[in-house]
Amino acid sequence: MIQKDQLPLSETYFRMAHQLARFVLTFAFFVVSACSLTTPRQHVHGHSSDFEPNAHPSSFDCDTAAGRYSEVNAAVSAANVRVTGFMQVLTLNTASAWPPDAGVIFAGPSKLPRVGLETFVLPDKPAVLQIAIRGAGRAADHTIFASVPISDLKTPFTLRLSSSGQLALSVGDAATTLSVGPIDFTRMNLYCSSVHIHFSEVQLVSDN
Amino acid sequence: MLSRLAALRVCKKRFAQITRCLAALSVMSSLTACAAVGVVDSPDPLVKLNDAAYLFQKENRPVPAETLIQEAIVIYEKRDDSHGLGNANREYGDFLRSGAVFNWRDAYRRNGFLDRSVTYDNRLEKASEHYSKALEYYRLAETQEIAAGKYDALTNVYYNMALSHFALGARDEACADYDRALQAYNDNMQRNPTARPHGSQAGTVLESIAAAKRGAVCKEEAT
Repeated sequence: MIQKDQLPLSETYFRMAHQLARFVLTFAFFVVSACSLTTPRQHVHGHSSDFEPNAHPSSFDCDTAAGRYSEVNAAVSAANVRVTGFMQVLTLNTASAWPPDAGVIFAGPSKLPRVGLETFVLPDKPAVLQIAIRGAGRAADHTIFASVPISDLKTPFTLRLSSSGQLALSVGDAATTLSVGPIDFTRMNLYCSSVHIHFSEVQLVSDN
Repeated sequence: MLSRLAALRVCKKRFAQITRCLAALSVMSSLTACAAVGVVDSPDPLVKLNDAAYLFQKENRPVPAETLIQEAIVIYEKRDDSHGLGNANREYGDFLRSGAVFNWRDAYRRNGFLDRSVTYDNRLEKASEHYSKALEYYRLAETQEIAAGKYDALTNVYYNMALSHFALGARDEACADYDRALQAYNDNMQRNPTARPHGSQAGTVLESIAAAKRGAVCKEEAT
């Protein structure tokens, strides 16, 4: 028997389901909008990005799953620029064809050329962090100038790019230089892929 | 009528208890057949090594991986299997140098490894010790395989010796091992023209050796 203030059972279930669905949708909306506000750009390898320069980042917690890529950009206007900071490897995500890779580079509005510091882990040397200087050529245009055992120590780095196109790099105790030629750089880029790395105390200074 | 209802309730309760009991039993029995969560246990040490490699290379799960490698070592020791012990020691070296162990460094610093002589801080030196140990076992296996005329197994021995040498940073020795693997492969094919040796992910045996030599940046003259 249906009482006056009581709905049929099917109607009650329908209303409950309706309310639940509304709640779930609202919750999902908040989660998605909150995530899109807080997470850095993350791409699958091979996808391009639009390189929007942010304010100068003093720190960047770059945490990417295996085969994923994340980056942050800061506008560079001066010719003689210097970037200093620390990097700290926290987690390696090796379950991918893309080895762990992270770096600090100078670049223009396009994907290439990009020059600067590249660190990565070779599949056959998983316990060693390779530190390379990246030239103005294609992806393979890098020269390893130091190899250190993987550790979670904060490692200082400095990149100095002169107006004549001389790039000087130092990471920990290792240092090197490379002539990259006069290129119009518009941004400094911190990136990582298949690794969780923390960039901290990053400072972009003009030496003019 | 009431007594029938009461009996029905008791029946339902008992049925629910039995169902829960059966569910618990099935979960427990399935877990006892596991080497780790999601890893089916196998008595075959080679399967253990393959599972372990997958766990620490792809799944970031070094803890069950180490257990499996240690179990494989025990089985190979009982069998006095030099080739197997070579493989197990080489893999333990790979395990100690893996990113998975680095990712779990806090746990390893706190609890140590199953091999109590290994600590997180000395793990890289210990890995080198295990590669050297693997080479000793492979040399024993080499003598045994040559004596038995097993050139297919000998191909694997040389290939694995190359991997161990390369892990120790001995590139020239690794390249020489790849050449010896190639020679053993050719000897095997001459003796057994109908043999169909299994390759690897890189392709046939020849393609795999060629790819490995490229990876080790071996000189072309050594081919």
